[in-house]
Amino acid sequence: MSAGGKHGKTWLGRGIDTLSLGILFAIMWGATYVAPGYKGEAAVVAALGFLLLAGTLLSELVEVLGMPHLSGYLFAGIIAGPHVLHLVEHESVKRLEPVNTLAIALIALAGGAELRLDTLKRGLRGLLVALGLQTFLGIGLMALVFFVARPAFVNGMTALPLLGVAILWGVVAITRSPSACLGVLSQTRATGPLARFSLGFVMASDVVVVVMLATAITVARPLLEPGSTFSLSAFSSLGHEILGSVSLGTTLGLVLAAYLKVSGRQLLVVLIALGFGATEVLHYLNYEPLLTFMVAGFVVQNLSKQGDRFIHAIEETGGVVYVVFFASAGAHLNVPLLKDFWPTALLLTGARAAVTIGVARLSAELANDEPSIKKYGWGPLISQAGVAIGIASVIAAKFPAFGAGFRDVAIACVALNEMVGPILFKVALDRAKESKAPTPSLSDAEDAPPAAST
Amino acid sequence: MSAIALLMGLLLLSYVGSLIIGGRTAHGLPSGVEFIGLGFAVGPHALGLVERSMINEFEPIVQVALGWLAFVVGLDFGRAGGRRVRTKPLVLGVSCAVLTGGTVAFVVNRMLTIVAIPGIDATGGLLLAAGAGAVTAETTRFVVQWVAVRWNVKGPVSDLLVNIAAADDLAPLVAAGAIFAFVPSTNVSLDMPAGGWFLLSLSLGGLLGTVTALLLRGAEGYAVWGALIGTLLLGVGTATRFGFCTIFVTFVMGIALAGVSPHRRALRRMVSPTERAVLYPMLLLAGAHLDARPLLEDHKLVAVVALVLMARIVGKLLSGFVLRAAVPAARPAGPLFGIVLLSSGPVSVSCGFVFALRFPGRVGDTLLVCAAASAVLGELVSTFALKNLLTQLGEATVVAPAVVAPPSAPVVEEPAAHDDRTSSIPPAPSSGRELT
Repeated sequence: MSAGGKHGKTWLGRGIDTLSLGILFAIMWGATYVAPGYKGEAAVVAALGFLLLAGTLLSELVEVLGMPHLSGYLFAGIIAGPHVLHLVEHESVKRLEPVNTLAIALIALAGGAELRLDTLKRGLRGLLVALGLQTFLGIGLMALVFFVARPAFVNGMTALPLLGVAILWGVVAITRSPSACLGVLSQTRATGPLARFSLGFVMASDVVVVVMLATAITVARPLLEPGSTFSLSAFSSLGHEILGSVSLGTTLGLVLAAYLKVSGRQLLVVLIALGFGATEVLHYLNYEPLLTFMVAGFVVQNLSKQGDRFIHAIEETGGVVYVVFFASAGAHLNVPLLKDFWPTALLLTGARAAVTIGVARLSAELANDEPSIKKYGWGPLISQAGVAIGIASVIAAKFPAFGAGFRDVAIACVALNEMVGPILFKVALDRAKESKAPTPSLSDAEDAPPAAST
Repeated sequence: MSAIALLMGLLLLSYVGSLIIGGRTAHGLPSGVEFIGLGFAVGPHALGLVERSMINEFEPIVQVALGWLAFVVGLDFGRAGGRRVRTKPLVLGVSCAVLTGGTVAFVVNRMLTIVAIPGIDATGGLLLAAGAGAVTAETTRFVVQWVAVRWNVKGPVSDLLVNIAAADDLAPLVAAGAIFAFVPSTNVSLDMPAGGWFLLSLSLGGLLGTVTALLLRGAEGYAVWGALIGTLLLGVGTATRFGFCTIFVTFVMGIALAGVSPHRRALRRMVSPTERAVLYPMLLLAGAHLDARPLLEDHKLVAVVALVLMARIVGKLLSGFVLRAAVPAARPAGPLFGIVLLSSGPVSVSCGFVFALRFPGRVGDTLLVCAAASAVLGELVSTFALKNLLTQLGEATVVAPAVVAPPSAPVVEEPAAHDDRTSSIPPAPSSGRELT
């Protein structure tokens, strides 16, 4: 290790990080001041670089407060974004969406590859009990809270339509954030029962939520639109989507495993091609990219011997992509909306956290899980991000009568959960003593004798 | 062809490029001109598989790729084959490039003052003349290394040529930075003389290089790549926003980083394998961007391109005389020594490309054509002239392709004692991959 210690780990280091952050903000501010109103592609390129750097630096600085790196990325985006300092404009954030496509693919591949069949089998009972209870009790209790709280946008609704909206809200409430979970796990390098449970639960819950959304829409439609009839047609396309995704994911996983075995070179280029190219194909086929990539990762891990190599390659590529992904998510966060809806958002978020913690404790007791899961099993379940907003947007599009208000309140709640959730998860992992040391630094590589690094 | 298909094609090229780096022989042509040809063939003016709108959509990626290549050149500037270039060859290399570029710029300017070309006003004429000088100044280091790898070259003249080619990148990149400073972007609200803009672009590159060094201080894992990519993107984005020359800014950034960071050797080893992986897609897009229509519409522009090539030959011949006068070891090479300096490659094409992007229309298109024509001329004339010269001088042995390191990978890292800035640092690991 160099004399100065690790990046930002000493007070001098943190001072230099703060100075660097100040310089970056000054450059970005200078660009905005000298060339105001610039809407060209260069603004997107500069925004990408700035979010990457500012996110990385802020993540080092928030470590002092015990926060995860992910919170630093988010805060960098919020501060520089279109709702606070306007250094990164809304247009640029929108045009950064291709990075999200790549990040989601990598997150799903990594998530699937982290799921090992033998460890899944060991914790299967606990996982199934937790999934079942969090899904059904979670939807039921959160629908009840929503029904009683009756936010402003459903004022004037009679009981039956209100019940329909409440069921839909319940589905939004049970969504988790695989990206936040993997982001914190990747930083802390946590291993242990809680980390394994978190990964298994969050990845599986993503599939469950898709099914529950179709079910909830089917159930809620007759309540919200009295003229409409009960129809199971949504399940036909859902079945096609899920089966197709699993089949294609299995094929993709086998191809990846074969490539890793035969060549395995330039995985960075292969992963980028997969992230962009395969996602495009999946959208064309109307398949679910998250599920497809998750299955592909799972197949590589469990049906070949290339799992560890694959995870290592994704970590190397994904590290940079995740920073931009979360920082642009922060820039995307509609802070003014949170200001408008904070009482409702606070009530619904608080209730969700209470329900999640209560149900997590109950399920862990019922399944007789490990002590760390019993105590901190709720940790990974608070975070929400893109999936929740995506589901709220789907509901908003399907039910325009109340959709806009529904989506706005959902975004405000997600904003809170996105900021608080990763912090709680890191605290849980730290307290469960599952967090590990950071990765080797450039200084370590410089200082290491050549033989040691081969 | 859809944008995603083009992206997949570029990634495939990048993959091929990275495999070539991993290989043990010098594949393809040294200037990479075949990829320019391929790009032109699939581009909007030949087969039309890649449309103009799609190329415009890829402009940010092109700017970043160009910036990255210039950054790699800056990071390794003044070094050849892993060793530091001594002051004399360094000065000679820069002088030869200035001489060639100056000759071309002077001749083109003279022609444009005599012959008026519709669509090119006085400012455009100056821009075209100066740009032609910048685009044609360099001698690519790839050709010397390519010949060295193929024919197992070793000797004082080949060493001199390697050093000259490594040093002369400074001239075209600084010239491009200066030319851009004379034509500031219309988006900026500040009014400043050209010198001010040039200093500002220089400062931006220097500042970003220094910030990168600060960020890399003990950076962990992917954060190393994150810091490099992040500062590069910020630099390219900000430079484009101001109307600065992106490749000049990132070149300065590379030099500043190499000057300030104690990890410079490890960084060089990390980034050098990426050079060809970025280069080939960039050359393909440059080829697709080539628009010969202005030349077909107005034959005076064809005369300009021909004049540029002839002036370049004259400039390089003059450079050959300078080299023979200054370096006794080069005297046996004969009066046509300058011919072997004619090869041009990535830096020239990068310069031509940034001009084409920043000044779309007759000036930019003509400069990109000049860069491509210059690369083709070098490939036709210089590569084999160089091989023949080195064989005559007894520095090349015609054998099967040598099993030595590829062209752009440093063959031997300099001994720590040769580098006063890095003498206290123990040897870095053998590959950049291990650093992360």
